[in-house]
Formats: sequence, C-alpha cells, structure tokens
Amino acid sequence: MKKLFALLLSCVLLCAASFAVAEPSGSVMMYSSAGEDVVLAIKEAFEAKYPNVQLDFYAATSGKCVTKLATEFQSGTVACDVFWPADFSTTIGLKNNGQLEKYVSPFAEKIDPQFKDPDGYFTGARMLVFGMTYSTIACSDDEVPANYDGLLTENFYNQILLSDPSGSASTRALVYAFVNNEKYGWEFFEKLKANGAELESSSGAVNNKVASGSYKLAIGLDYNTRNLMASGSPINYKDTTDMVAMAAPICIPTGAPNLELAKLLYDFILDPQGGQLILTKFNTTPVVSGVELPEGMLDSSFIAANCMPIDFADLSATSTELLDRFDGIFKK
Amino acid sequence: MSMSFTRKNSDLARQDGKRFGLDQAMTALCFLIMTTVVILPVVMIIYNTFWDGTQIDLEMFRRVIFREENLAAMKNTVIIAVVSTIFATIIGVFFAWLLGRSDIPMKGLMRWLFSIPFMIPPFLAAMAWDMMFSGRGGYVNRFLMDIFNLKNAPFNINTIWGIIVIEVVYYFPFVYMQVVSALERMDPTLEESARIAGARQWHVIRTITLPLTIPAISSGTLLVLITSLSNYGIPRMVGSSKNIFTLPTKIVDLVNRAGGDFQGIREATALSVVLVIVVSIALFVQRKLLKAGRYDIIKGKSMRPTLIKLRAAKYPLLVFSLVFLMLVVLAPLVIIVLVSLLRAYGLPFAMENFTFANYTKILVGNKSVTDSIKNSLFLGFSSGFICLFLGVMLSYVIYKVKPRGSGLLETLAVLPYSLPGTVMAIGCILAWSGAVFGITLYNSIWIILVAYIARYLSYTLKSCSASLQQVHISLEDASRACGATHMESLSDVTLPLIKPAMISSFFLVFLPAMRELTTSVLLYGPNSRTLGVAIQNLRDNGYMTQAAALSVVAIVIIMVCNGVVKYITRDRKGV
Repeated sequence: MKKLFALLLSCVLLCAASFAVAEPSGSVMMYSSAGEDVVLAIKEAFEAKYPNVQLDFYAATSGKCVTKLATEFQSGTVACDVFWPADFSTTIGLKNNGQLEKYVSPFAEKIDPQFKDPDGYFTGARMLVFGMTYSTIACSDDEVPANYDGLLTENFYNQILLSDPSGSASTRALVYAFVNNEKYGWEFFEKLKANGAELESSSGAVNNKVASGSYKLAIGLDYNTRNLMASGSPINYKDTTDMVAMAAPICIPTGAPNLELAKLLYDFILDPQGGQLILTKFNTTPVVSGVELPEGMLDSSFIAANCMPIDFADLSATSTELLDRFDGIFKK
Repeated sequence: MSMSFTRKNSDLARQDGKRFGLDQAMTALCFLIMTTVVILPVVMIIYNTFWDGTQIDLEMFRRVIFREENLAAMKNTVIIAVVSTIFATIIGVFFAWLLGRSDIPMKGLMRWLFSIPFMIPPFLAAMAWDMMFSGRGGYVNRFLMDIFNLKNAPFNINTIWGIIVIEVVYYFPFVYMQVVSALERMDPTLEESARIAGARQWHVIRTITLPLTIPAISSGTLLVLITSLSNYGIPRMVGSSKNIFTLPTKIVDLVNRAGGDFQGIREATALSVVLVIVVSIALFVQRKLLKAGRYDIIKGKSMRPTLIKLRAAKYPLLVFSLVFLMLVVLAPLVIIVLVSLLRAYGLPFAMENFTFANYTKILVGNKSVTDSIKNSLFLGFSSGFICLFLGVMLSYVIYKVKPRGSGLLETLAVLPYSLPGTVMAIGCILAWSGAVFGITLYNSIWIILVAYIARYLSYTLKSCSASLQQVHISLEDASRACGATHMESLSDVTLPLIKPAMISSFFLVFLPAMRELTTSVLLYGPNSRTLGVAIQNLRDNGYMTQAAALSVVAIVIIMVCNGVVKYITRDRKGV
C-alpha cells in the first residue's frame, strides 16, 4: 500500500513538474486590424493568463497589415505569428498561395460554417455588420430607412456616403453581396450613384464626415459607429432588414517564428471567456455564439441565419473585375 | 578653375605624406553611403517591378502605365505639381526677400509662423482646410453665406484647385527657407554698384538679386515639385470623394487592392517607377539650367547686405503679410486646436462642448503615446544630424571636389524622396530583412532611421548645396595659402559661411521626421512606434479629437525643440 502511494505521489509530482516545464514562455507577434484599443485589451488579458508570454502587436488598417505580411513573404523573413485581417478574401488568397498553417481551434466548433474555412486554415474571430450610420444633427430617426433600397429616395439625394471598395475589403464584400443578390444587382449601385452617393477612402473617414453633419447617412460598420456614439459624437446606428455581415478571420502564416505560442493566442482570441468576451466591451460582435452579449448586440447565429450569402472564394478570384466595374460606375 | 583646385588639394595631401586626401576619403564615403543606405531600397523596388520571380517582365509595366485611369491620374499629378510649384515659388521668394532684405517690422513673429506648416501632419492640415472651405458646410463658407445671403457655398475645396491651394500654402515655406538664407549671405557690393550706377530698386531686384539666388530658388522649387509629385495625404483627404486621383493615391489604392498578393503590389511599384523617372528628368533639367551661370557670390570682403527701406509700402505690405499668414498658417492650426478640445467629434464649437479630457487621455498613463514621443524625438534628432552631416559632405563633394559621377550622386540622393512613403517602406523591408548582406533591421527602430535618412537626405543636400554654390573657392584657397590644413579651412572658413543653411536644413529634416507617417506606418515594430503612427492609430480607431490633441502636443514639442536648437546655435557675435 505504501509503495503504491509512493508511486502515485511520484506520478503526481512528475506530472506537476512536466506541467511546470510546459508552462508557455517567450513572445508572440500579432498583426491585427481589430483596432488598437481592442488589441491592447487582449494583450493585457492574455499576458495575465500566461505571465511568461509577451504579446507584441502591430495594429493598423487591414490593408497595411496585409501589405506588411506580403512584403515579408516576398523578402523571405516572416515576423508575424498570428494574422488578423478584416476579411476572408485576403486569407483565401494566402491559403491558395500555400502561405498558411492549418490549425483548428477547439473553440471553432461553436462557429457557423459561413464564418470559418472548411479546411481549417483560418477562422472568423470578430463580426463586421453593415448598417445605417446616420448623423443625428442632419437626419431624424424616422427618416432612416429600414433597408438599403430606402436610400434611393429624393430625401437622400447627395446625402449618402460609403467607403471606397478599392481600399476597404469589407465594402468590397458588401458590393459583392449586393451585385449577386436578385433584389439589388449592379442596378442598385447605378441608382445609388445617380442619387449622388459619394465615396470616402476608409470607414473611419466615412464616420467622421457623417459625425460632422456633412452628410445625412452612410453605409457604415456597427462597431465603428457605436464606438463613436459612445464617445458622444452626434451619430447613430441602425441595423437593416437585408443584412450584410462578415467575419474577420485569424490565421497563422507559414514560417511563423513561434508556432506553439501562435496556437495559444489563436485559442485565446476564440475563447468565449477570453478574446470573444473582450470584443463585446468595444461594441464588436463575437463570432463564437453563446457569449454573453450587451443589449442591442445580435448573436452571431442570428446574423448567420439572416445575412446575404457571400462566396469569398469567388470574390477573391474575381475582385479585380468587380472593382473595375464598380469604379466604372462610381469614378467616372 | 575647379579642376586645378581638385588637383591642388590632393597634391597638398601628398606633400603631407598622406596617400589619400580628405577629398578622396569623402568621395569614397559618399559613394558607399549612397549605394547602401539611400539607393538599395529604390533598387529593390525597381528590381521587383521588372522581375516577376522567374523572368524579366516588361509587359506588366506597359499595361499598368497605359491604363486609362492611371493616365488620368498622371495628368492630375503633373497639373497639381506644376501649378502649385509655380505659385509656391513666387510666394516663397516674395516672403524671403521681404524678411531677408527689407526693413519690414515683426520679422521674428513672421519667421516663427513660417515654420508651423512643417509641423502639421498633411492629413490634419487637409482636414482643417476641409472643415473651413468644404463645399458641404465648411465654417468659412457658412459664415460668408450668412453675411452675404448667398445661396451656394462660395468656395469648394474638393476640387483640383482646392488641392493646389492647400499644397501652395503648405509648401511655400520650402522655397522661403532656402532663399532667405541665400539672401542673407549675399555680397552687397553687386547691388550697391547697380544702385550707384542709377538703377531703380525694382530693376536691381530683378536683374541682380534674383538671378544670384537662382541656386537657392531652384533647389526650393525642386523640393516643392518632388514633394507635390509624391504627396499622398492632401489629395487623399480632399480629392477622393470627388474622384480626383493622383499617382500616389492610385499607387496606395493598388497596394490596398492587391490584398496580400505581391503580384498586385508589383503593379503599384510599377506606377511609382514612373514617379522616379519624372523626378530624374526634373533633376537633369535643373542641372543643365544651373550649369549656365556662376553663383559663387560670397567672396573675400564679406559684410551683411544692407536692408532696403520700404518707405510708404512698409505698412501695407506688413498688413498684407500678416493677414496672409493668419489665413494660411494660423487658421488651420486654430481649427486643429479647437477640435482637440471638443468633447466628441462633430459637436459644434461652443464653450459647453470644450474639455481638456482628450489631453489627459493621451498623456496620462498612456504608455504607447509616451513611447511614441520618445521614439520620434530620437528619430527626429538622429536623422536630422545624420542627414545634415551627409548633406554637407555630399554637397561639398558634388560642388567643390567634383569627382567623376557627381551628377549621378546628386540624382541618386534625391530619388528615394520621389517615391511615395508606402512604396519606400516596401523597398526598405525588402532591402533590410536580411536578403542583402544578411543585415536584419526589420521591426526595429533602426530600419525607420535608415528609411528617414534615405527619404530626407535630399532636403539637406539641396539646402546645403545651394548655399555652398555661393561660397567662392578663393576663400578656402586663401586659408590653405596661410598654412591651414584642409580640415581646418573647411571647419573655420567654409562651414561657418554656410551655417544658416545648415541650421535651416537640420529643421527641414527634423520637423517632418517628427510627424512622419506614411513610411513608418509599415515599418514600425512593437517597440518603435512613432508619433505619426500614434496619431494615425487614434484617427483610425475613430478618436479624431484625441488625434488632434496629440498633434497639438507634437507641435508644442517641435516648437520647444526648435527654440532650444536655435538658442544653442545662435550667432554669438551677431554677424
């Protein structure tokens, strides 16, 4: 009996010792389009959970993150461990080039198939939902249409703004969703242009113009607008009945210098008690369903059931033609 | 004349038993630095444009260049650059003469005002102008509409002319700074003899003063031209909602459109090669034009040029200048300060909406902001000093030593500046990630420093060479004849004579480096965030008011540094 106990004890001690050895340490680099304050909050929580790991980050717009990584691939030295751009077409391009590590996080189970890669190369990590962003100075709540076709009225002549799909990947996906939808099609954008809609370079610039009251309304992003609202700007947001939404994916580039820590961070971001919960504090909808949500925020399963389908693989393959045709209408 | 001088310096060195004279050492060093620091990123860009990974690819270049919308963007770029350069030159020379040579009062105040545009990030300046003159309810427009009962807004900044106006008021200080130091060091005897011979004041200015400052004017003009050709912030902020595109905005769009595909980024680099070609041509033309004249007007008998009395024109000119500076320099600054005090972006400017909360948010306990201030101070001072040192040495080699290939040296030094910041950053990543010589600077602060040096060397080179061209070689010859070594005659004679230009060229680098954005935004790593990046991140996250507050902080820091450096380097003898 004594012997058995000693054996058990040593087993337990050995396990504990091996755990202590496996305690993760080092540093991990993330490139993220999620906004600096979100990334900072994730860093704080991640480093609190893993005290020996340092999370370094590069936070910028999706286009800059992508350019930085693409140039790293070209130069042959990858510095990025976890990559978090704003839309799927980017990660599909990387996947097709063989530039991504395959990794399926245990938390990915609770994510709708629309919002993750079937082959496990990338997983949606935060939602982007489009809707009506309007100026509370220039536009009353009743004026705001419940749906996109309501933008084609005379009331909004010369009063609509959207971000340029050349620079904004999420708007590119929105254009794709509309033109492949029977109800809207290219005709919608022709009419929108005829109604005097204008382009701005980024969704941030769009929001600022609306906040200053220069335009009544914009096709805007939920979290952007709500953050601005929270700071007190005269701006508001309304969800539409025809929904356009997409997930911003995370992935691990091939050649990532800290593969094991990258997986650790990947899991943390998708953890309903970790990264996903942090997102809700910054008005960003989580992709994993079942996270406790603040009032007014839609669950991703509801969004998945209601949003227009977007075939990102096709968008990725045809985006040049899509942008050329769009520019043909809007940049004449 | 110059050829015999070259031989003389090396002959003297040989007499001292040295195999290499200072001239040869400096020439070799110049070529070395030029090929590594400055040219390597540009070479990487050109190489990647024409090499698709397996073969030489000219087809893509041709296709991109002749695409209809790119041709339209080229046309816009050239129109904006040429027109704004012409106006910026006229205004810059006018103010340089007024402050350098006339007895107009309040010079100190005006000099200070001139340095402000350099301190404001272009996107913020454009935003301020947009807020004042936007066709959609800009403040000035609304004010004028109320007063004169107008139906339509009298100004619309969102046009090609709007871009030109902003660029003119933003860039004329380039010309001013170059020309004013040339005027202050000019030999007054030429002007005096013309006056004695009966020439009228205006005639003297036209036929003597202006022609003698042509090196300074042309180098300022060239800087404006290149800056305007490669400027991204202003056309982006003002023109994109009205579909006015320039080469840099098209280039950045192409980079963004690429979506991570390097083949797509190559299209962008192809378009930026066009900019490199245009700038090379401009440089070539400038050299050819300057060769015709002689400008070494500082000779032995040095005295300060006399100030010209403006008499009756004095106060009208003063009022005009002050109003002009208030409008173009102070008004945008005031707008930025007001925005920085707003509770939330978009609220009207009224007492109840003002708060200091934005300042406390960015300054108290915000480590990323305080780090960025430290980094930018380090980068600003070190790139300023290094560029100054290199600029003086390069211009001395190019204009006084004149080795074979000096024209090439000058062209090479200016080329990186013709690339939009984003493209330059891509070149730097390609060059400094270990692919060449195994040197890895990527994601550290050093890659940003190297990029700044490459980018801003043209400022100090242009500024110092303009000034050096005015120093007659007889002065150095005289000191050598009196027994001074080459080093002594440089440090005691030549350098003191171009000191004003050296100080102003330091600031030409320091000021923009303190708030640089487009290059550092792709290069910064976890520990090397810069002020420009911090401002941009605040703006991208929707904190426009905090972005404005941090810009104001940046402007204050720059002003303090400016004051300190000016105090340390002040003329003690009051020459």
